[in-house]
Amino acid sequence: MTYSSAYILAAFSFVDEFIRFRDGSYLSHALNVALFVLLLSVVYLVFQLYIVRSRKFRSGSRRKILQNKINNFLSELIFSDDQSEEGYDDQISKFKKRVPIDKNWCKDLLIQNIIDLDRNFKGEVTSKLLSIYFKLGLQDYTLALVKSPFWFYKTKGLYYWRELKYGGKLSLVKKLITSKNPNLRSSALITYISLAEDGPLSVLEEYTESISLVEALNILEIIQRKKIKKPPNLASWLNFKEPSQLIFAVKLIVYYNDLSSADEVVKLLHAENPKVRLAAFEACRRLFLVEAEPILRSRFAEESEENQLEIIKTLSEIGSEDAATFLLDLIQSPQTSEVVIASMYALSSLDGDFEQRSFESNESLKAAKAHVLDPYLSE
Amino acid sequence: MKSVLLIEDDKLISSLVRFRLNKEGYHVTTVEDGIQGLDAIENGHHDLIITDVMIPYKNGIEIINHSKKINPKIPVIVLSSLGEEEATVIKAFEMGASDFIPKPFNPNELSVRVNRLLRH
Amino acid sequence: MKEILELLLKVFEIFIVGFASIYILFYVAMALGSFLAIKRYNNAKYIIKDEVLVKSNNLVGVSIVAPAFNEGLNIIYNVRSLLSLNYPNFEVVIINDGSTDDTLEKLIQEFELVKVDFYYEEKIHTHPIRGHYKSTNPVYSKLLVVDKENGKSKADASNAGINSAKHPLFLCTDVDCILRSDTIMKLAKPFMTSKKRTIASGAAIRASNSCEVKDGFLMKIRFPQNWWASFQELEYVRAFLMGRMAWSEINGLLLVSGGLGLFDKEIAIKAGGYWHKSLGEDMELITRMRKYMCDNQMPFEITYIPESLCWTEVPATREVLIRQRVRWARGLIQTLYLHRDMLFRPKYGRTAFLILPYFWLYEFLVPILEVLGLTALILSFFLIDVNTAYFIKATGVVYLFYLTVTLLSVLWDELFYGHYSRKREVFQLVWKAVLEPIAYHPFNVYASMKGYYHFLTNKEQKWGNMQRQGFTTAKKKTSNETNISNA
Repeated sequence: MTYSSAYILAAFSFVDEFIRFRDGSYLSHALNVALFVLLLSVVYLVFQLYIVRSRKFRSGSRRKILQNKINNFLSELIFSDDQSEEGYDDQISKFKKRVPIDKNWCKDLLIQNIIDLDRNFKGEVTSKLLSIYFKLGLQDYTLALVKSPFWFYKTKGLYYWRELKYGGKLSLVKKLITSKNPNLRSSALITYISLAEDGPLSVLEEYTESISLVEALNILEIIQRKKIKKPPNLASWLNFKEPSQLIFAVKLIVYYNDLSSADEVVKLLHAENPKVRLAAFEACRRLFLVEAEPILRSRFAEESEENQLEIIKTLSEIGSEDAATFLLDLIQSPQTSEVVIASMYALSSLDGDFEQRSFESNESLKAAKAHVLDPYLSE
Repeated sequence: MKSVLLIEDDKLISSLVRFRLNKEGYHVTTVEDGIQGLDAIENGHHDLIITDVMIPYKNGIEIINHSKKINPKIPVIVLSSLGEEEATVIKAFEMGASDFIPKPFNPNELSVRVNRLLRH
Repeated sequence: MKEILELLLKVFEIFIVGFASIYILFYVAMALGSFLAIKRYNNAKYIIKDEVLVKSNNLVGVSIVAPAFNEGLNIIYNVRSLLSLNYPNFEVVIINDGSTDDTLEKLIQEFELVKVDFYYEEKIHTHPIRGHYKSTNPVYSKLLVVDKENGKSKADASNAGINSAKHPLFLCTDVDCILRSDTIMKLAKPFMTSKKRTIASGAAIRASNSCEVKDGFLMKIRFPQNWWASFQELEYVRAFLMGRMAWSEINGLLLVSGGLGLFDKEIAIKAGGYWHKSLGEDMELITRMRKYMCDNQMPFEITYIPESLCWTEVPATREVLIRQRVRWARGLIQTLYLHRDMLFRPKYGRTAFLILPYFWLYEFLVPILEVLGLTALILSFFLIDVNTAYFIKATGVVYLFYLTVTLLSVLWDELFYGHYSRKREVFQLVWKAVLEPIAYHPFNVYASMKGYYHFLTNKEQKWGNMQRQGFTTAKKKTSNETNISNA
């Protein structure tokens, strides 16, 4: 069950097959070579391990010292009483002399700290950050990263620009969106959207790849944070063919509360792809499209459980008395516990007589009702 | 000199906040995680506690809970890094937090709030 | 007589030569594959940062399912540790598996629990449930405790937890496992990025035996000082870094360890959940889930994350270790035998033509061949002339090959992660690698043979009563559910 199994096995095979039954001289030589090579590699590995270990230890303590210097420097710079341009330059050039600013690990740590400040603070503090970044000469470093031939460095550079909110080299970023490397593409797309000033979302119209849930959440987060305006032709995005793009378009319609696309969203309730329908079910709830209710009910039986649960959730918010009747009817026939519980929660908000209903003959439904009414169990 | 306990795992943030509050004339003790935080609450005297919601080993809500058990009079300010999770805010206030400051925050605003709580 | 013996040995040798060559080539390929995969994983860290995601309220929900049997000693700390994980949408489901100590009482008292009217559906059949408990204190609203009668297996308890879980994904673990705070995020990410449906994901496990633990949290990672545990740590490093990652690359994982795995609840339930009679329920479940997906022609993925996310206490005495390995061996053969109909059936694709044959030929057969090989070797010494010098050299080659592979994984672990803070600990690991084939491996082989023997003789399974060694006590630990192997 472990690698060392190879040991006895192969030992035996070597011994017998090669040595006893055949002439051993040629193999003896091969054996010697193998022995020598392997011995060397073992020694090399142990040596390498020692090097890696020592280097890690040294760089760890160096980083700690640098981090302390950075903490003090930034605190003093930001809260110092002398806020003049000269005072600033003076402090920065003094600091540069005290740290190994030409080393990449030092630059990385500095940028990381500036990003950290930007993420956690607001007000006067953050307005100074980009200028500190330039004055420390970090721009050249990030530019070199983005221009590097390796995608790993490129994504690192893009990450820095994205977090620093530096949009000076946007054309470079845009070019990378069409890259063949999925990691780079994804990184460039998100960076572009978070940095571009006018109509950043229009880039999605040319984007041909699928958008994963993680990417979608990221882009939505950027839209929310930057308060990006609704793209003028958002409605036409509902014609996207690629399912994940279409789903994202639906999410955007929801985010912008674009009721003018309501009819189109309702049409998507019949879409071929179940994931698209799922997004459409949710959209009907968020946009409060009461007109969708009959379709939701008629579609229910054909849907997967995941989609059924979404329908129930939507009905619970936009449903009429018909929806309550529908759900009451539904739970009379056998359903999974998820569907029963979701229906019960929906009924508790839809059905005016819910508290009085006793579901007499049905122990299971009684139990489900009790679950829904329990103060410590939440949906 | 009034004493403030700051529980925050990001050293840069705690360094800046300490610097800012020192300027206001407070003595600031900083710890990096929930376990050290609870130790500090039990064994030290602090006039005010500032805690992040997401800290290693514990969460800010537990810190409030614990601090209120030991001395309900010590005000607690909660910093959130959780985005807009309303449930956490509500929970924090239910537990007796005096103030809730979402990140990103303005350190000057924080010092104003500290002043308000400590100099009434 | 001598001629017959020589002929037999000769046939055996030819088989062994082919067998061992493929084995060695396989490992070289796996090592390369693993290295590239780990590198790519680590390189991708700047694309989308978890910090952004963790703030989203739209992430897929995760239920942590952790069975507890007589864990009164540490249950409070362990549950607190689980509750403090960093993820926006999760619950912790603790299953009290009919404990005879004060596990449930402690939970009720500490977390202010009350019995609730939980609507429970037995999607997977288990021993009877006595009740569900929730906290009245909003701080602990993520906690759900399921009290059930002891079903004499972890599988039965886990199934009760799965039945009670409300989120679409469930994370299976042991209460005494210490998870890194970003564990859920790391494991759930493949479910949200992959184009195919991800049905399970797992990550590396390490030994917590000598780690500094306070209140259920890992303060400092230490190399196990216990003789038996230290070898297991080495096994874990090698198996997870070299083997699993390569299997994950070709979507061939058959084993997501029971100590830490995230599963698609719908598929797990449809596949029937954990099988309570299995001795290797984690591997058995994955096999069945693979089967289910293939039967229904649904493309899927099982992913492995090359990061250590979970620390667990491993057996610290020879008896306990052997008992554990006997169980694993028995579980292995049981699973392979149970699903023998999948072998070489075209509809099961790579499971049928690559993964299962590999498990049969190497995971299962190797201990047997080792014993046979040793026997043949001893026979040869007595009955036929063997050139001792050659023998020693050849053994040296194989030993050094093994050592190279092992040291390579130790080096990668240090290069990519570097968990230990002291230099000495790294070299302890090297020293154990040197000793392993002689001082540790034979016990494994012995345990495997014993396990196979038990399977064949159908010995009564007896492992419902498990004791755990607390981090603060030195009580004997008699079971560990965390399954590793070189897969």
